[in-house]
Amino acid sequence: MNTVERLDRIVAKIALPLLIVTLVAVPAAVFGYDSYLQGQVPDGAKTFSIYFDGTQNWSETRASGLTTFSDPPDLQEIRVRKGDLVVLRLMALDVHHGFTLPDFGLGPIELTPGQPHEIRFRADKVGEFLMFCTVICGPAHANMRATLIVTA
Amino acid sequence: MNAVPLEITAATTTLPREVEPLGPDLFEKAPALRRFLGTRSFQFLLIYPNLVFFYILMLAGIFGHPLGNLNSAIVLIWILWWFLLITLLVPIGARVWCAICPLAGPGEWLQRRSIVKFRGLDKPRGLNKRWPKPLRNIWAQNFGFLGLAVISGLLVTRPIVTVVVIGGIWVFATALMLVYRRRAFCVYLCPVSGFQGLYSMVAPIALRSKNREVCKGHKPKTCMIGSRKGDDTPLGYACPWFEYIGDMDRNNYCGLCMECLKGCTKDNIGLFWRGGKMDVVLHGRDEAWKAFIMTALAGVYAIVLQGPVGTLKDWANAPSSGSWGGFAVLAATMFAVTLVVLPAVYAPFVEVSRRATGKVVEFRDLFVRGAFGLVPLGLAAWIAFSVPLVLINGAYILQVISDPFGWGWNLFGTKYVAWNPVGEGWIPLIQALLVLVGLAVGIIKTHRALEPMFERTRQATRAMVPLAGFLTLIAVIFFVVFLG
Repeated sequence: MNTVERLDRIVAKIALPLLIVTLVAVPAAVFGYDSYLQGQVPDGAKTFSIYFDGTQNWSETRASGLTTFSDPPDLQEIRVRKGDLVVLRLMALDVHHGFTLPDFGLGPIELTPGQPHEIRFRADKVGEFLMFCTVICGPAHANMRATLIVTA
Repeated sequence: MNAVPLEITAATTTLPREVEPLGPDLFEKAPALRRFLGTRSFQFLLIYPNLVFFYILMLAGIFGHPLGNLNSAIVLIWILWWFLLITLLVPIGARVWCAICPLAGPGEWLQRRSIVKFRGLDKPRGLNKRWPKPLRNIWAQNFGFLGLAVISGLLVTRPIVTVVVIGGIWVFATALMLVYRRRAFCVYLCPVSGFQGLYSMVAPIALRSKNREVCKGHKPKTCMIGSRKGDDTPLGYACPWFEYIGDMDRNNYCGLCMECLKGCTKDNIGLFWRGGKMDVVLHGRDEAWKAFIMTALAGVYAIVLQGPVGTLKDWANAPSSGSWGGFAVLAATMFAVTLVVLPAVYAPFVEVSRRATGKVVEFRDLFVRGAFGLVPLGLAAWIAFSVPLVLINGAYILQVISDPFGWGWNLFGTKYVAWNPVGEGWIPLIQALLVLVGLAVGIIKTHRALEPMFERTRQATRAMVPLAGFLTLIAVIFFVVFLG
């Protein structure tokens, strides 16, 4: 048997099992890896990634991988419970933006496009707190405000 | 079996007049390449990684971030893949993408009841019907591509739309292969296949028979009807693309799957490198209109997606902007420009050309043949359109490679590469140069396409002049679009 025939024979044997394993292994690897990364965040932390886009609005997606499919992506509020550790991952997509959550003494933070910024704080008081962009960034700047709602 | 010596090949002796000569046979120069491409497993070995890659992209489209520039389904398909396809794979490798396309592979495996092993097609899975005669042309591909073009504003920005369209093609292709024989979907329906066929005419790669007489004298025609199980080796399926390599003289409908190579008992198939030579003859109005559609769309895309007019972008992105009226206007304009306006502008030039040569050829023949100039010019325009995609948005490619789902991963440390456009000042110059090259090649090769229609070269030259005027007019429009 020459090399070519040997190659054909080996590939013929493994092709179908390889496809079946791939079908299962790829999503398992993707979601498994993401779960592993979530494990790096302190236990019980509420993590949110917030993307800033001055031409649209700002959008929110949970770092757990559950994405919002609202159209356009539009962050109105973030809900946590009193005592939660909150992690905000901020990223400007287009131009320089700013972020502040004054009631918790956070910011203003300048956000450079493409450079991530992570802040962590304990939601230690109940209420509704405004957070907003601090740089006049684009047509949607006035809309770039949302509420942190901390419940008891 | 000895190889047929190149000295007596069809490439130099028996080709029709309109076929440009073929160059050296790469299989002669690199026998290892011939051996690898002749294996039954080679196609699976190339399709498999591609399949895994697209599977990940589909998952990213469904579960990943809805913003396009954070999702690999958008960035890696509509920026990277498109760029590679239009600037490298098709212009150099002809339909090599079709050979490794992950969308058609599974359907073909189901049809053959085998992924690698040769089982013959005596009892293929599915209905094995013949493709309906009235649909044996590329009109369905033309309209399919136009349909995708109309929704491209959504397709290239919304991951979920990309998933629906590509996943839909995947499912549809697989289902169709269980109804119709071989790769009817790829030949007659796939919207990506249509323009690849057109532009693969200019590719320097050409799979052809070495000697047509050998093919003619080979009665079993295994390349065309397939080997029978139990035949002596080599074993190959009938050409999935319904081609007969013995008289195939264009790249248009050859999917480079190498089935003919696997099943040829005469070792009479070569992979030729023909350099600047190309296939220059369009067959039929469906192919001419494909050239019109592709050329016009290159201009429309450049204006809408890369131009400075925000209103047009709003129209293209109606679900976000709410400009449904504008969307309808844009869609109607796309159909009108590609199907009516460009051919209508071209027609008078053809008539002048015909009159200049004493009306010795039919208008329809000259109309179809003369449209070939739009193939190199249109391809050049598409490359010009695609270059800025990568130069401007290259950082997004690096970002999504590290974070394909937009979930905050940083696999290779490139997640936070800053968006940094490259060569902004050079882009218009590169685009103008590409259009200029496309124009020059278009004029030269149209002349070559016209030559066999006339008795004397001088007549072809005279016929060429008005058509060169038309190509120049189109090139000027592209200059305005890209430089303006």
